[in-house]
Amino acid sequence: MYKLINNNIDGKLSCILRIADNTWIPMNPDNTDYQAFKTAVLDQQPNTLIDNGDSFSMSSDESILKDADGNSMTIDEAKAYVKTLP
Amino acid sequence: MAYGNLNVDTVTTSTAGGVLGAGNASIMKNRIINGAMVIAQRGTGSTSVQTSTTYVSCDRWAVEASQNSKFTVQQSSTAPTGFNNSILLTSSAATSLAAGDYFAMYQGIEGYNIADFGWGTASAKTVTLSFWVQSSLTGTFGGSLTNNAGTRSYPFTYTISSANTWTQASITIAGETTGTWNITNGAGIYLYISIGMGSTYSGTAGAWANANYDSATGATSVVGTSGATFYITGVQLEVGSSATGFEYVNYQTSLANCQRYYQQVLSDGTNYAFQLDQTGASGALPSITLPLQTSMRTVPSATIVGTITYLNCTFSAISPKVNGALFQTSSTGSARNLAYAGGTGNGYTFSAEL
Repeated sequence: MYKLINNNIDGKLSCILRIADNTWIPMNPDNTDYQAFKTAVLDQQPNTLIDNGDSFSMSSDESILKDADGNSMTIDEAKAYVKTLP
Repeated sequence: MAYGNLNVDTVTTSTAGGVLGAGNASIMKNRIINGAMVIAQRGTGSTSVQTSTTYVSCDRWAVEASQNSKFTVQQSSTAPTGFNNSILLTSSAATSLAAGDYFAMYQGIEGYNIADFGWGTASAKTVTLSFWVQSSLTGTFGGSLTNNAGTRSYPFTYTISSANTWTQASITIAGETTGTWNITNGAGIYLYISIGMGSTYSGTAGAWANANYDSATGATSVVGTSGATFYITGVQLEVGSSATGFEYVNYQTSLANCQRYYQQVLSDGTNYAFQLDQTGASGALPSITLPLQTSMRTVPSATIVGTITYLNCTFSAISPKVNGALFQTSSTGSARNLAYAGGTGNGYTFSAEL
């Protein structure tokens, strides 16, 4: 289970929180935790929840992204979003 | 104007004809980090390995399992002459292997540390893997070397003839002239030591294959026998066609080598791991940088461990940085804001493992 974290300087997405062990993961392609996060989303692994009050959340059972208003994105849209990340 | 005479000695290696860096030198030849299993920052006790388990025992050595609770891993003080530690893997059940099963320990070797191998080129160098092993079982055991992408692999075997007796294994591997081998800060080579591998991940020993094989076909399955034990230490991977003596690395160097991939700062019962002490108005973000102990492979993941005590502030966030991580709180008043990791075993860890 992950949570997207925006920084408090410019409000942009800055890192990923892995909730299970309270690990704060940098958005760095060389970091293997970050690689695992992207793989979890792209492979629709179970219990891959992305929760952010002002960004997106992924349903743990449906494995799709939702926006802050609860509007669901398709799986392809969710994957496309993650692919935009570094 | 003369200043006197200078006597100059020549530098030679311990082996006649040896060339520094070519495998017979006595220093800087082993590409395995913590091959003597001395460093265990995360702990020395026994851990039951789950499918999600990776790094829990000796530094730089990960475990993998396709099923939960089939074996345990721990640092051991059982070791052959010249060593003081080993890794012990103990089978927790009699597990029959399905084709897709995998049970192993492994180390990812950073590309920078194997760049001189020249693998993937016509100048690929021959290397030799050696280690000490002991098991309650006898037979032919297996492992492999693979590239980062898992598209090239070299399964190997070695034999343990006497149960519960230390045996040194040596495997010479012809340099791989094809495939893609990372030579920067990603994984260059993965070394797998298998204790049970299904047919999907097993291949013919002694030959390079275009596949992700983590062991050799027909190798003994340690996890197939409940209570079976498997110890390993003195792991060395060096350039050359023969195994030479294990390269001794002093403790502080070995620790620093491990800290490139994982480091932790924990309170010890007397001394805090860190302390933030600032004054800020309500809504301010008192922060400190949790520093790296040594430079790391890449920007690390940061984890707060145990209990942090807060006074006039609450936890806000951790922001991993190139030079460590920014620990942020949110002030709840204009008084002194305190946050500290006291007690025992509280603090933070950084991970940049492969």
